[in-house]
Amino acid sequence: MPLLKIDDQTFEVPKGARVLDEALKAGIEIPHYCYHPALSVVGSCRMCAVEIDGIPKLQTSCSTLVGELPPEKKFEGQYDMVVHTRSDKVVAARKSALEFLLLNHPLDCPVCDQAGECLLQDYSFKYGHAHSRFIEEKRVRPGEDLGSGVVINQNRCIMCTRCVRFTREITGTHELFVENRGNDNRIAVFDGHPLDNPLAGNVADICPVGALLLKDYMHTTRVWLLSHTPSTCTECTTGCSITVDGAKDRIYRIISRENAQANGHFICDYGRYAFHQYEDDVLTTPQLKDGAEWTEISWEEAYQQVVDRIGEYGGQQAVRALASPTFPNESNYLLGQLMNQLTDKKSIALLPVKQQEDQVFPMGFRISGDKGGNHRGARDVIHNLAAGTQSFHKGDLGVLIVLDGDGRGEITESIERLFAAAPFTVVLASNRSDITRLADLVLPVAGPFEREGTVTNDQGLVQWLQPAVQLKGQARPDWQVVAELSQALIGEGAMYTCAGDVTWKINQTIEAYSQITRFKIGKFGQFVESAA
Amino acid sequence: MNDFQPILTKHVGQPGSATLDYYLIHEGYQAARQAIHEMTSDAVIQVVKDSGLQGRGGAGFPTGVKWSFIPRNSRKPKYLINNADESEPGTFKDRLLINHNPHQVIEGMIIASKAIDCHLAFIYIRGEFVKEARLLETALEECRANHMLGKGIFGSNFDLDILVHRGAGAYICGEETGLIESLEGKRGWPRIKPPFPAIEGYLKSPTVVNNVETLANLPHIILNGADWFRAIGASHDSPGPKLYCLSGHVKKPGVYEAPSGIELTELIYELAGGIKDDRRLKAVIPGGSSSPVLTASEIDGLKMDYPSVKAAGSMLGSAGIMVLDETTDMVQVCYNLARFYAHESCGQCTPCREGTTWLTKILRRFTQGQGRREDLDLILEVTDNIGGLIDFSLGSYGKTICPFGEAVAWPVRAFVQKFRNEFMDYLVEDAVA
Amino acid sequence: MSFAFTPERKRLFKELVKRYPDKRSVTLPALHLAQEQEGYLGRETIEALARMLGSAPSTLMDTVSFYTMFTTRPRGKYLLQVCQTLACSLAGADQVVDHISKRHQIKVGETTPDGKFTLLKVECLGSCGTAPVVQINDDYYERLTLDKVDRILDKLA
Repeated sequence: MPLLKIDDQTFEVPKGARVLDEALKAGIEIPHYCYHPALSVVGSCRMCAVEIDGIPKLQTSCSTLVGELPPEKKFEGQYDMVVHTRSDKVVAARKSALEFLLLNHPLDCPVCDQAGECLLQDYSFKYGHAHSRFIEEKRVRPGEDLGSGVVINQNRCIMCTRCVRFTREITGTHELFVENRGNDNRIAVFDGHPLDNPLAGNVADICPVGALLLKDYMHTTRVWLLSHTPSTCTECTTGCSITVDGAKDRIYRIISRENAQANGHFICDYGRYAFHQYEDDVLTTPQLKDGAEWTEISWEEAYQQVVDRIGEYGGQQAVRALASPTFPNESNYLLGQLMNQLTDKKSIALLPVKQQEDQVFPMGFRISGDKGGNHRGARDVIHNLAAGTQSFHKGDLGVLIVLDGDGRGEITESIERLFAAAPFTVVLASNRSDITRLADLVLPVAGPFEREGTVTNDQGLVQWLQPAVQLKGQARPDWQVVAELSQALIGEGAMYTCAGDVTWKINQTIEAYSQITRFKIGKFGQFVESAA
Repeated sequence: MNDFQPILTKHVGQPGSATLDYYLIHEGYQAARQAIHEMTSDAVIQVVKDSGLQGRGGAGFPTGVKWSFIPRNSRKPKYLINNADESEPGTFKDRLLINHNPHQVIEGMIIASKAIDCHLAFIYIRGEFVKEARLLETALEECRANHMLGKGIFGSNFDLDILVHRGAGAYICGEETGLIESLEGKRGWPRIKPPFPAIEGYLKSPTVVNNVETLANLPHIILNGADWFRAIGASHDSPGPKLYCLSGHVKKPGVYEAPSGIELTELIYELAGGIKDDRRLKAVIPGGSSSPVLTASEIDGLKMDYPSVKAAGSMLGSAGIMVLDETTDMVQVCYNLARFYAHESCGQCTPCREGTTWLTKILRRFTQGQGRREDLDLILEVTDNIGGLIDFSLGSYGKTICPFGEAVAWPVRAFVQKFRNEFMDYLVEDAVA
Repeated sequence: MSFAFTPERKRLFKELVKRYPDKRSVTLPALHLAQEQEGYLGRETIEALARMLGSAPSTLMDTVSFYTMFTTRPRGKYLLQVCQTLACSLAGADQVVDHISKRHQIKVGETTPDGKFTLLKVECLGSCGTAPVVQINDDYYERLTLDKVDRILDKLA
């Protein structure tokens, strides 16, 4: 293994390791714009130049790979490469590249959405000139709508071409291109062929400056006012790692969170904008249907209703339940436990969710057609899961308890029949949906970005859901409501004081999850045992 | 010099010199026949290495050595590209060779193809040379019709075809990897090296790019031998016949063939007839627009071969010699060239994309009498940031992916350093006074 | 305005596709063929060529817009390209431009109202030994004097 020295640190690296990657991994900052680990290397911004012993001119660290030297040629008798990232020459080169990039870049940081997370701003502060020596006129170009909710501010663009490479290499859709030559270079779309792919929003995430912007987020807030919550997208079974940026009770945007085990670097636009689906028709109190009218009731009254109706409609043995492929493992697990205690039959099945074709992109990014983001987890953690709901119709069918499908639940013929046949239906949901409309009692629970617990993607990766915004009104965490129901019905459930308690219980009782702990899941998740 | 007989341009001006019939009666294709039938690839490479032939495109890299970088046992096809993009201001020699003796160039390509085991070669010719491209097409058709190209050329089992590929107006496509990108149908953005074209060039296959004039030398080297070639010219290290392009303020501008290492003064005063209107010489750009300008006093005794011009602080480059007389306004010249480079910058690398335009804006301000004293140092700093100091010891490829950075920085630097007083005349305070 | 090659050009295009080792390499030759036929590379032309080359219109436009010889807008019947780089500039290229400009009442970049002449200043045409030079369509006219310019333009008028 070659021995690489960067400044005063030494690393053993694989042959062919990229100097920039190794430095970044070690926490050594080498500023860069055009380099992106998911994209081809172009080496054009010249920001990542470093000094390398034995090479007279500066080299771009993004395009420099570490080789192995014969023993007699090693530097200082042991190193295969010696890199300096803070030498005078390097600092001067950075300063110069920044000066060039700022010639035509407007100094409109006060109104720029990128301000606060802008690599041009950050690097200029650290490495740049305090004053401009450019007294000529700046180039001014109009902004443009590129399509798919992305706009470009041409004046801010620094021609790193990440976005162009993204549409060529990651999506294979080729909408963006470089037009013209030299100083007239600009990012463009061909007339009549706008940006049009379900990963398009990523171009704004990877833009190192405020050139590419999402219309949805533009001018809505300042980034330093936001809290950044690492979480997991449950919109499909890919289970992308995300960061939910919110403030107070509002989500402003969702961006990708790099996770090699899950989504890599990107997320899809369905997931990116999913939070808007949960902004309207939010359920804030338990509601009981009274004829055509809904009446708000208290939680105590609600639980009492469930107890009373079960007594009224065939007792505990007649209770049936639908778990949800979109809810976390914790609430699904507790519901499974409850049903197995209430009845001695297979009394719990999964709510079907909409299925579409998978969308797979050239570099492997996949948007799963299975929109039940925790489909696998729900199957894993529920004992005695019924394959369908046919058997529910045998014998008495009493109270039906349902975890909602977050708008993705599908009312199939058999679901319609089940809801029609059940004399009393309880639905736990965050927003009014097609499913809640069929309910007799609605219990308001945490929405997808308010939930806490674990979800398992279709590869068996268990990741953590972190609440990004507070619960609205009287809504309660989903796991808590199932636990409280369990307490009311079978006297169990009060021992759970947080979602993590349930996660631990799953760890203790579900074989495949015996390695899954909050600690091990960490930021990037933990795979379930592949017994299956 | 007196006993030197033109080799490459021997037939220039002869009626019918562009036809196959003419070429065949003048020893045409004998060298190619010999290389194909009687020589191994190694033998061809060796004789060219021994001859000391250096690439005539500008960099002066030894041709035989360049060929030897092609991996012999690679299963990928190997490609030869004849660089006829001729776009360095001051350079117009390749056009002459193509117009007057296209078969000499094609024969050179056959020999080079044999050397690197290439079976499909290209002539990348600048798009504006429409007539020359047609002429080459005609010559190639003649060859195909006479089994000198195609399947089993000259009755051997060596297949070779050559395609003429027209550029479309971009100076940077004269740079090897920009040219290859362009040939692949893309914008001519030069590639990061390594990998070098010899390993991954056209379509990721081993590729050699040789200049027209370089290739035109090959038939003569094969026929007359390495020693013969070595003996031509003033320097054993930089030998051979050389085409020098003289333009600007000379009485007889044109292409002159002379032994490598001929004195610049001989070229200017004897071959090109001296300075126009018998004015005095101010300066010479010796090797195309990207070579640093030399003042009249710097050219005394200067031999025009690669090492000598380098030692004088400039480059032989493409041997595009632009002569500037005493009336020349060096600020205007500097602005003219800076504007050219800003127009031709491909725009890929930050320093070149931004810096060339910045320089042009500053220099335009000068030509309008709006220069500031501090601009002179600023220009020097900006050129340093685009291409670095004029320092050949560091090799190429520094602040930008390709040598274009140096190509603009060095000449502009040289103008400002050597003719600072002329720039001072354009300062705004002087204009006011 | 949809685009299609004339039968002869279509044959040439197919021949090129056969000769080149990959289709995308035929891009520049195909663009030349199309521009010679149409006079410029319009949106539909680029879309059609992209289909023929197995490329995206955007990718093709990326290439087209890089090269000065390609144009996406119609130009005059005669394209007068006066070289303005050093050797030509020293030899009086500016006067040639001014002369043509006055003669035809057009500024650089403009086309005469009758659609006959478009005047452009271009960078080095590679003919510095015979400066000043103008390229008119495919042909170079060298060692220009203002009289010579008049004679050339008279013939074209």
